[in-house]
Amino acid sequence: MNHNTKIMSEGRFALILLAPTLLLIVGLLLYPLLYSIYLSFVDLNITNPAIGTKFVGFRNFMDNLSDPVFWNSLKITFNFAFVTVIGSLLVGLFAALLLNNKIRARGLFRTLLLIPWAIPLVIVGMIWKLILHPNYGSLNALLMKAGIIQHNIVWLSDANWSLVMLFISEIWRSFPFVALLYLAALQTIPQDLFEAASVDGATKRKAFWHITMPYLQATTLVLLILRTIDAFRSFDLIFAMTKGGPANKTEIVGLYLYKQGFTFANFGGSAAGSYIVTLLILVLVFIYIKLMKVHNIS
Amino acid sequence: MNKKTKSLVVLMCMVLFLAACGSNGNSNGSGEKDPAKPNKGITLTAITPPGMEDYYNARSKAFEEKTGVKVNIEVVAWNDIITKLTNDAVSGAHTYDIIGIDDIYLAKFADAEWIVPVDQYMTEQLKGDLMDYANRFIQYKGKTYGLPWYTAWKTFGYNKDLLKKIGVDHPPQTWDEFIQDSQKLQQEGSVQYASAWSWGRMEAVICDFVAIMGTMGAEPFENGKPNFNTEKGLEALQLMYDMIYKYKIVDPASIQFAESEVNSAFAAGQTAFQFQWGIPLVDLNKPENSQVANMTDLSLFPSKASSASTIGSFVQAISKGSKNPEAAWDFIQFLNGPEGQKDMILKTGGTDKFTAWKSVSEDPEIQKNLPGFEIAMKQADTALARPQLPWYQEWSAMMQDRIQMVLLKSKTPKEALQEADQETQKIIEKYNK
Repeated sequence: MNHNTKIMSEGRFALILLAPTLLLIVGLLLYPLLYSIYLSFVDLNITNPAIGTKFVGFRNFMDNLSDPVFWNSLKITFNFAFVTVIGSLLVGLFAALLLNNKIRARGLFRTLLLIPWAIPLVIVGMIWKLILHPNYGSLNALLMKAGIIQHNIVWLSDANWSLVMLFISEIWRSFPFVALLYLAALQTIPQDLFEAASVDGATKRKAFWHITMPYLQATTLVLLILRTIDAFRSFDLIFAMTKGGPANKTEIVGLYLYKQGFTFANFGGSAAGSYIVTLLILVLVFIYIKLMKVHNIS
Repeated sequence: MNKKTKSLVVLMCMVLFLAACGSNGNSNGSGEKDPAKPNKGITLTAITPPGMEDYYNARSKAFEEKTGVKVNIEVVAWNDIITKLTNDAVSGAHTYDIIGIDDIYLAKFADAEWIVPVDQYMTEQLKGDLMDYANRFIQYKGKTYGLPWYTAWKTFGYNKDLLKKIGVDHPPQTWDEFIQDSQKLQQEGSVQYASAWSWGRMEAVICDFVAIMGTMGAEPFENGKPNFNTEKGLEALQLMYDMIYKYKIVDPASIQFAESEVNSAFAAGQTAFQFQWGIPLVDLNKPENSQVANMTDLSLFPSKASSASTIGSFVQAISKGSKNPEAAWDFIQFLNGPEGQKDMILKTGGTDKFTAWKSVSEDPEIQKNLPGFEIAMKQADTALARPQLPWYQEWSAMMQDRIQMVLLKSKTPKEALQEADQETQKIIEKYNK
């Protein structure tokens, strides 16, 4: 009796097993992708169903590009991305270096580190909103007790403070991810390099710049790409904290496009704007990848 | 096909067959029609904002007992309802039979044909009992689209005890008096800020702007045309700015506050005045909710020309996609008709919602349970509705930003209103293209 008879090839069998997942991916990713491309070239005329959907060419793209509010939201997004990416990389690196040392309760600290990253973004926003409440918030109470301020500061109603507070909250919630990746990279550095450097009389600072940092280059570039994309996609945290206010001072491009699509029912304009932003992110990623090639990092 | 595969296929077919034979929610199980309950077995889906879900559930249970029609309720945050309904309508999912929308969105929903007219269900009795102001909220382009559920206008509350302490025996009636009383209260150390307002980046700031402009003797829109870039509009916006920066009588945190935060400050005795929806005295007089129980009262909103307020309503309408519009209407009437609204006010206290029916407002049982009822009804006569325009949402968002820019000192009131006027023209052009 031949037990090795095959009913079908392994490839076909694998395809059958994968079919439900593939269908799900096509349905949940490919269809919305294609539909949003379609949307960016049409006007659904929602409040005028008699006209119906009309092909408008590149008008939706042009409308966005000629709208100063869109450019303003892009500017805020760039500022937000720049500060929070750099900030989270610096704080994350510092936390990773700290937790890479043999300190007491290191395991506990490493676990605690993950908490801000594990909390859903809307909850993070609500926590920060409570902390920053002008009359009942703990930050004002703390600063008042310490004698640093005499009057409550309206953190989220002030044009400048609101943006600063968004930067801080975004850095707070994103640095654990950075720290985690840096921590993994730090553990791959051979210890004998540090020992040799020490024998040669190198200070800790020199060892950091000449041994640690070169080893972290690849991780840094990967983090730059991931965090930049993340910053451009930011929505939940800002929506929960300020909803883009006061006025439009914290309205990043994600919020602007959400408002266009889901509040004003201008789905065409919103889809076109999203593709402009996608293009910008792709350009940034391209620059990062070029940088990686220049520095021969893989 | 081997035996095992065949058995599997047969088994799957049986499962599918049995599933198809299961209840689809529209059958009454026995297959027989109950003449007293012709719609028995139907299941409707409704969407509602939070805060009233317990009452809504109890009322839908009573409706099920009466008609056999079940109503499933989805509770969605106020600010997310419009987004959820827009997505539902655009995607063609038509999840809901009964939808609840703020009256300012009615024009958009009617123009987009996401809701259906209900004129055929409106009896003469219903039409005759409906208050004039309520009629405005449910009608658009000569058609009726539902019944008002949450109907409320803003009323002016003041803390009698705090005013007495500074030797003032009556609430302020003019803006000058309001400013003087506020300054005195602060000088005496009774409060840090005499009032807080809901001037956050949300519809609430428009509601207050409409009322304040109303007290100057004009409306932001007259006959559907923009009227805010005028002397009266400027006076209103200048007053909002001056109250924060010149007189320093308004909590600067108002720029991020919603109505609930304004009420919290008033209920905690931290402020002496508030402009709030409905009749907040009901809750303010409950010691478990407030530190100012029996210390507050209502008065007409201070004014320059004549008192004014803003009125709004939450309209319940039938979704275009509903497969059971008649049953949906029955429920809308059960919940929002005169009998339903009397029941709601008696059971929920009528704190921030009021009736749309003459018969209910004249009911002595209702009147005796609502402190401040008389003043609230007087204020209702002065209340201004926001315009029904399909582009209202876009205008409101733009206007919120312009008002906030003034309150953030990044634009003068004049610059902001001029800019808002130009932006409004652009929005109109876009919608009329």
